[in-house]
Amino acid sequence: MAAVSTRRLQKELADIKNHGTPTGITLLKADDFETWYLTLEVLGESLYKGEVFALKFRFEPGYPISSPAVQFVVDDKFRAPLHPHVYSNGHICASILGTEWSPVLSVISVCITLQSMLASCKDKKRPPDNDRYVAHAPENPKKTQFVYHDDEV
Amino acid sequence: MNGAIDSLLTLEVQDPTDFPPSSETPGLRELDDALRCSICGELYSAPVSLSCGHTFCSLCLRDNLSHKQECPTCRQAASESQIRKNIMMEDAVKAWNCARPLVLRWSKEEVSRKSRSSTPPRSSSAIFAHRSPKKKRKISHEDSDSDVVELVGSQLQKSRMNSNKPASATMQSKDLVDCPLCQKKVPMKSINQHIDAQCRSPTSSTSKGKQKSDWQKVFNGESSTSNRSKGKEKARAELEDAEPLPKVSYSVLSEKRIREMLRDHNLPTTGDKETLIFRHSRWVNLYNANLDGSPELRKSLERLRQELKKIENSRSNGTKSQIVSDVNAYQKANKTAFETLVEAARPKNTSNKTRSTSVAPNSSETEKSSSPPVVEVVEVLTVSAGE
Ligand SMILES: [Zn+2]
Ligand SMILES: [Zn+2]
Ligand SMILES: [Zn+2]
Repeated sequence: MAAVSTRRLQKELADIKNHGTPTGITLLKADDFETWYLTLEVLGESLYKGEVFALKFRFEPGYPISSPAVQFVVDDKFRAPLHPHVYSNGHICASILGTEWSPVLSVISVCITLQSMLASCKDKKRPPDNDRYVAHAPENPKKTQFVYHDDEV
Repeated sequence: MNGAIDSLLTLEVQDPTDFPPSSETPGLRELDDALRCSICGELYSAPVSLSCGHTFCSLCLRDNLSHKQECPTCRQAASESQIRKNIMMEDAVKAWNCARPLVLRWSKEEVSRKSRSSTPPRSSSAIFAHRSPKKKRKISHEDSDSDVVELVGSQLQKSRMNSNKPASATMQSKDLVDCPLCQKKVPMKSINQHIDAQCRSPTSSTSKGKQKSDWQKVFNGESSTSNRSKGKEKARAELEDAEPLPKVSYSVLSEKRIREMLRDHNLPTTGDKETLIFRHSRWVNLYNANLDGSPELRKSLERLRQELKKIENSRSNGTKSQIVSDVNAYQKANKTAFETLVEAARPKNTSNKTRSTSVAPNSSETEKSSSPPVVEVVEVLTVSAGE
């Protein structure tokens, strides 16, 4: 399906070029059709005012039928947001990145969802199992079978 | 610089935003969008519908149902047995494929005619500097919310249009299509011959040695242990009443049995069980999706096998393997184009903070005029997170 994934990603890129990105989301780096980086910011009143995060998207040849691997970048420049669904290693527990992924979703729609997830956060804290998870987490978050946290985002 | 982006976008990507927004040429973008699969973004190929009414390319849907038994758009439970050919949609796409280049040219001529009679032409070098907020606001009052977003594209379209590249040159380059197998540019007229001749040029050694030689045997006809000749096979595939292949529960089958089934379809039998299952299940999808197209549009089994080989190569080698020949040139070209695109996207974004939302692909399909996409996507998340 590589041809399909490449063409889909080209379309998404063209869409970003033609329509721009939504407010608070920018394309940081897209050197190929395998890994893209975007920045994410919650504008307006929220617990994350003034914070800028980076998201890393990795695509398999089966994209968009197989979901992208999405995580927050954690390096000397970026931190993972303090959020009940975001682990300190940047992995995200969000059902649309796993069991609820649909191939009609896109890079930008994932960004918008994560932006709203942060925007609606009322309590800045790590998931309760953060330390245990981070200690044993696989490099690729897609290898984790998340049990989606049972509360509103 | 902008020439590089434009050639990438016009040659490689066909998109509803090729057309002017509805404020300029009402309905054209929407028409082009309505004839596209929301999984692959292409004009429907062998369109099929589920009982919810949503339509996809047969192969896109079948591949997705192999993953998950639900409608990708509305998430209603779905299965292969619900799949119905959408013959009228196929006819509409066939006609639109034919008419699209002409309508595209007309629509651009129309926009250019309008702009000539009102405002002076804009140069393409100032592509992003020309977003006049005043004009945007004016038009956004007249139109629905989603058109505010689309207007940005329209101005780009206009700038592109008014650049010194004549419209006819664009049309000519559009006659070249990407070969689905080797990714090379091939004149649309000769694409079938090109594919039937196995892309004529030798393929590079991106695939695994053993499996590759096995595939080679398949294409040379050496491994045709089954009793049907190629001629008969072809006739069978194009027969209107050819039967779809049944779904297989591989978990209850031995590796040996799966090999036999592959051999029956004249496919390689190398690889571990996972590879065999991948190969067979994809073959079933390719074969059945092919039957969902009208007989005159169906591909030969030979061509389906080549597509399967392609899929398998990309699976084992990652996305880069798709470029069969001229890898370096392709990557270089893409990289430059990418850098230019990223470059182009950046200043625009910062200078354009006031714009509200962008349209997620699913929203254009499902909720054209109701709720904004933000809400829709969030709902998906909250509903499922409670499970
Ligand atoms: Zn499709
Ligand atoms: Zn549906
Ligand atoms: Zn070819």
